[in-house]
Amino acid sequence: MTADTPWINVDLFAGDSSTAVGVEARCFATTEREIISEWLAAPITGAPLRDGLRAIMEAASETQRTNWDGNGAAPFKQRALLNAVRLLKRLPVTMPVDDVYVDADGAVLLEWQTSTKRSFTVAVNEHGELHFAGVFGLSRLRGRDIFVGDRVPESIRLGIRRVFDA
Amino acid sequence: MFSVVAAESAVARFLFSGHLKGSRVRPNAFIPPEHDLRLSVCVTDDLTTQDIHAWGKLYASSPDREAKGFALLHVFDFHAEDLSVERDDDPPRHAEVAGWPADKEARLDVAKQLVRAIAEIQLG
Repeated sequence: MTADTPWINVDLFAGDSSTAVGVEARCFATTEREIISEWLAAPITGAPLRDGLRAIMEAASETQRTNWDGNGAAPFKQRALLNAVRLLKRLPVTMPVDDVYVDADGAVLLEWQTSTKRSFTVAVNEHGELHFAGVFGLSRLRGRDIFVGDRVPESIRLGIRRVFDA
Repeated sequence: MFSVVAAESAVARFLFSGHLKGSRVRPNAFIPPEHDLRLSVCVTDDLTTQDIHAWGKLYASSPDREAKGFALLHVFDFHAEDLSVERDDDPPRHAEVAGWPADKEARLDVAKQLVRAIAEIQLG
């Protein structure tokens, strides 16, 4: 770790990386390196983005092994994780992600929430497909979109914005 | 061979570290894997909290991955989302939540509703 990578706490992964085995361990190390590289290329880093990236890395750390849920779940998928990073980096700092986790298929889920009655969740997969669902009081919203290039789909921006609307 | 579980019965979904943010249950605890679209639960009728923890240790945990606790829901909460609970007793008291929608976004939507329907969370 060098001085110009202040966002990541290398100790967060040191234990996991050293105890992981085989292909999974090598994949995780590769993922970490790619994310660090992408981060280093980013011109601006705000605290919300740092927190979001840290949450992504924690989610990856929790789910780097097969069967992390005791029921045969797949480990997180590298491309899904990198797509989630790309998505977060292109969102305004006024939309800080509240939680990040992984599902049994290895997709990375980003969640914005102000209460159990107002939340919006996006599942990001390795192909850049986005499956989303939101709860806004009694209203429910769901849909799918695709994230390619640099532009965050309007459906995602609108869903997140609804969480923060009074 | 499946048997029907009564609507008023309670079932436990065992939780692992990736399913929890502190004491909050994440929706991924209720998203089934795409390859079979079935979610394992334990029918908890007449069991004490200690019994349920013991069941989880015996059947849900693996040597390298221990359940952190469980969330209790009523079967009618699954019915409300057009899901069914099918008991196969393999292992004893085991059941599977079936009838999941084909679209991933719909499954995510359902999972978020199931989190809201949790009647009780027991950790530790």
